[in-house]
Amino acid sequence: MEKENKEEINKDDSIKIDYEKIDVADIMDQIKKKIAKKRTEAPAEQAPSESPVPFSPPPFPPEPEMEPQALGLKGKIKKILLKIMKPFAPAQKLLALPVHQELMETVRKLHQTNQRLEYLNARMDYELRKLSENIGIGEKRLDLVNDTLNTRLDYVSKTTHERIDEVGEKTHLRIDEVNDTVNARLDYVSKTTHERIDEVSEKTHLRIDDVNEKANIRYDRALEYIKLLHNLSHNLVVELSKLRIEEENLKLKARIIEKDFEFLSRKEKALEKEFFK
Amino acid sequence: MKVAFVVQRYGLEINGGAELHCRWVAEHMQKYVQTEVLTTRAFDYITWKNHYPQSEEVINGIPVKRFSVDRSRNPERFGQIQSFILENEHREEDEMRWLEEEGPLSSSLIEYIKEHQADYDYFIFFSYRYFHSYWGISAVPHKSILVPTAEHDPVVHLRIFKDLFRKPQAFIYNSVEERKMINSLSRNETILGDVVGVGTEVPSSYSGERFRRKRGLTGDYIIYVGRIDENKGCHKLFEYFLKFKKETGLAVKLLLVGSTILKIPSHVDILHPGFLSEEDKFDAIDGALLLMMPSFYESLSMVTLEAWAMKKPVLANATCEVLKGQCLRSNGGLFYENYEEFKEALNLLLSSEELRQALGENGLKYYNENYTWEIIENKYLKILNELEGRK
Repeated sequence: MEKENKEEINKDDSIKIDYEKIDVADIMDQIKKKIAKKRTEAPAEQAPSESPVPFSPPPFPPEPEMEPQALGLKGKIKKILLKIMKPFAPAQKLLALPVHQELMETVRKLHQTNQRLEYLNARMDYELRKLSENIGIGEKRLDLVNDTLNTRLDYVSKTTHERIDEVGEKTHLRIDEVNDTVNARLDYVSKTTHERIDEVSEKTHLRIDDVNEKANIRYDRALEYIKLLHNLSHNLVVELSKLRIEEENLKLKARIIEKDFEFLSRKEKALEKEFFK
Repeated sequence: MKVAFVVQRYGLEINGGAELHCRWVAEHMQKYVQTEVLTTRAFDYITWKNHYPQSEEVINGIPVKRFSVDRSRNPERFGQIQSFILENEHREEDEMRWLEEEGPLSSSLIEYIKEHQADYDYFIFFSYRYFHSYWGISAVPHKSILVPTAEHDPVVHLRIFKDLFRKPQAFIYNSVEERKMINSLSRNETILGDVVGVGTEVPSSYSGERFRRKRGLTGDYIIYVGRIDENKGCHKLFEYFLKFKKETGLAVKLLLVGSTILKIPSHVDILHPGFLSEEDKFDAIDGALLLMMPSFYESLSMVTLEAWAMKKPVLANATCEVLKGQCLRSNGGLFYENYEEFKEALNLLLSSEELRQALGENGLKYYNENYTWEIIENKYLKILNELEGRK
């Protein structure tokens, strides 16, 4: 890539890519993580930089020198005794040298230890002070974030409530409007339905009356017919009874005539017999 | 078998969207079935004004029947109605009014479908949101197949479409995300359907060098191909790209290819050579480091497939679930949701040729496995055969 004059191209080692098996989801995850990391780092970079306190341990203390003792009565006696013993000093030193050297070494070490302890003490005070300052900064930052969040939450809460109220009001208005429209429509439908029912009812009654009248006429006529049929049946029964009697009479007459005819036949045969004798 | 492809516009001059999708599929399917196109006389997708003569013509071997648009669309009135239905409580009548305004309002096309339904075995409708699909499918639901080309825009939630998505005999989706969205909206999982998409026509030879020489272009560039429109996310692309330039100072340029309805910022590194021929377009993609796809709403993005077919990586807008899903499935591109992600992803892509190459190769593999014409044709045939088997 050609370069103009600003940033270097991002040869970013923080994004690991397996070129043999590219995984876009993984690359995008890494990009998202990188952005999130940058976001979290950004506020820390913007925070006021604290001046580093140069601190180094104190130089190693020189070998302590024995300070001259303060002169008093004791000192004077000591001085006199030392003067008296001066001629034996070489022998004394020869005898007491190892102990003296050991003693001196111990004193020196103790002094060094004291100085080291003082240094560590001072260092601890400094670190505690620094920690306290950092905690203070952190608390201030937390307060700031808290304030910002609270302000933002208040704003969001306020706008949300306003919006809810607004939407609620609009919804109520709309519900009222829809309600009115529905009521008007229901009234209209109810009115037209009643009108139609009345109209249909009236027509139905007229039709029923008409049908009823016709049915009555037909009923009366049918009654007449039934009466006539009844009379006719009665007459037929009477006539049939008469005919039955007459039939019986005729059958009787026929039997008498038959007997007469048999008698006459026998009479005829007897006469013929007599005649042809 | 005779199949009618029903689409809002049709012609060689229309070089994008569902219309081009429909033309390519129809042209490829004529090898297997008798195809015919039923469309309107419109050319302008804003007004649907009658443009083509009302006649039958043959385009690339396919008979095309054009029907008049009864009424042109008034964009202002349409905007008002759309705002009303998207922002207010409304009735189904309002949605039907919106559909009429959405157009293209061609009653003669619907009448023809009703009267001549016996002449065709299937009607394949493209784009669910237009008048022809709604009323066409309602007229012949038993013979209809829908290619919804649905994006995640608010109108897909209208009530009228919930019913519409339950009517066709089969669905041909563009992406897994589109299928999920339509399934969840209308619970139409039981209807036959498959994720098919569309193939693309990449020329056998193309040369980025040839494009550079022809246009006198020097230095590296990234490319955007498509309508330069706010709906396509171009305003955000300009904003992010200029901020990226300011912050990084990289000498990369942005090349825009396509017609514009948005003011392009005047900047020495934003180049707009206007509309390019197909040959120049592929040469320009070949010369680019990567393809930018800033669109918020896409049901497939054919240009993304073209870039992958040419082994070019893609940097896409993750707000569009389809683009994000395609990048994740293919491992052929990165995506962004905000400026920080845009900056990091673009920086990473520009700085690593190895990454660009690996993503491009993955893109090509994904294209070969899912979007070659042979695969697309077989998926269409499978659906048609399955419907035939049910008769």
